Amino acid sequence: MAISATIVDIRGKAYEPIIEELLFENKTVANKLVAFEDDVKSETIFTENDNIATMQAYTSGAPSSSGTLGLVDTAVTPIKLMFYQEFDPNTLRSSRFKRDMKKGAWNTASSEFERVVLGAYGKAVSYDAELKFWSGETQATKTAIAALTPGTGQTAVGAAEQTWAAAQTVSLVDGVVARMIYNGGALGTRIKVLGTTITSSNIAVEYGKAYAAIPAVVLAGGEKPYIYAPYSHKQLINIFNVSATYRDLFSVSDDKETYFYNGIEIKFVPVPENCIIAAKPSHLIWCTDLVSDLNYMEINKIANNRDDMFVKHVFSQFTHVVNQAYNVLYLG
Amino acid sequence: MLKIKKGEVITPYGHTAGSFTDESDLSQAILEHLQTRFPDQIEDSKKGKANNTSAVIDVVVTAEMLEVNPELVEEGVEEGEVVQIDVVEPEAFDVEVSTPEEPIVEIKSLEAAPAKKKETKKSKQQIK
Repeated sequence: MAISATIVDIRGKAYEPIIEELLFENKTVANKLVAFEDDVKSETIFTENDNIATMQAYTSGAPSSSGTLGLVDTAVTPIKLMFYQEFDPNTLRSSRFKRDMKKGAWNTASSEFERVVLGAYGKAVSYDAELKFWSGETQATKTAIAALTPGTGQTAVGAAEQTWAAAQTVSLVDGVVARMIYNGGALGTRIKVLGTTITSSNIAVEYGKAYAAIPAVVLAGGEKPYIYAPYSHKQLINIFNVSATYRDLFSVSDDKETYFYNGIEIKFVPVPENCIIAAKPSHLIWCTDLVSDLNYMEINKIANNRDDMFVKHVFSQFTHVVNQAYNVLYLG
Repeated sequence: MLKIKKGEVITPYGHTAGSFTDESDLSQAILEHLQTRFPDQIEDSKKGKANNTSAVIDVVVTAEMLEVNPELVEEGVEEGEVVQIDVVEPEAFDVEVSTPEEPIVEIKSLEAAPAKKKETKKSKQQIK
């Protein structure tokens, strides 16, 4: 049951703000840090084109075909998900929330409760969806990654990748990290970088490893890649910069809002600790039916003859990673 | 064979991911990787066993034992009580190891089994 409350019957005054828990804002959606593909109801095909052009000697006679025009289709069906809770507003009748309940025994709806408490719950829903977009892992993927034979080469799963997969709590959707490791029923073709525990002392060295692994063509293209890093790296970078003689490796805006490593902007998102992803935002696709579904929360009576209520979110989500061979996954 | 030390909790990817304990079912490849990051929390179980020559066992205090170890009398230990002792090389002593149903060993050769660790009064009560 949704309301877990330690209520004091209101008498006298109540401190006006309700102290909310601190949550990260879902910047992946708000700032469009990846590509969003909405209107994906079911079975939408994503096509990747990978060509090989092979030069050959001219012949005036019959030429032979050489090279490849490669096409790979992936059918994506976002997974339909929901958050649902029931609550009884009658339990709030003696609390601070009674102050804005309308007169009459029928009325137990509190606008303050809906605005503040349910509003904060909505933020928690949004953050959880973002967390799963980046770090989710299904049981099927967890099992599949564990079954791979580890090795140091690019064509083998890394021990660090298997360690992450084993550590991750199972969720209903696979996130970016899981998709980079295991995609389309096989090991992903991501660029694997073996990392370690990142601290303020070694953060520059470790970012250097990920940076060096980015294909030059990714850096040269029109669309600039991002480095996606965990929130904690903001602090580690700031601490590193304090003792850095020249602060041009990690350049930070005066308001400490924009961070760069060697000219690549760092975006802080809920990826796991000791994990860095370097990729063009268009390579990481958040597929959904409607992006704004995440912001839509239905609050209503459970039934016409009842006064207890429900709060419900319904949305669909699928993480799709394209151009895998150009995306860097650093895992410690 | 590598394993996570008993009582250790390793959280390699932050608190949004899970943690590993000595009960986690992990491959040796994963444990080797974890060892590079958490060397103090991973042990080689074979090596650990070879070096571990100590053992704590329960013994029934006898009158002779109280005579040889007057500090036990000072502690208020009485004949017939059960105390724990730490023997460095248990196989070197003349001890009779009990069955699981009877988890008490009786020391027959007192001189060869000096009591190195005495139980506290609290733990005595727990044993009782």
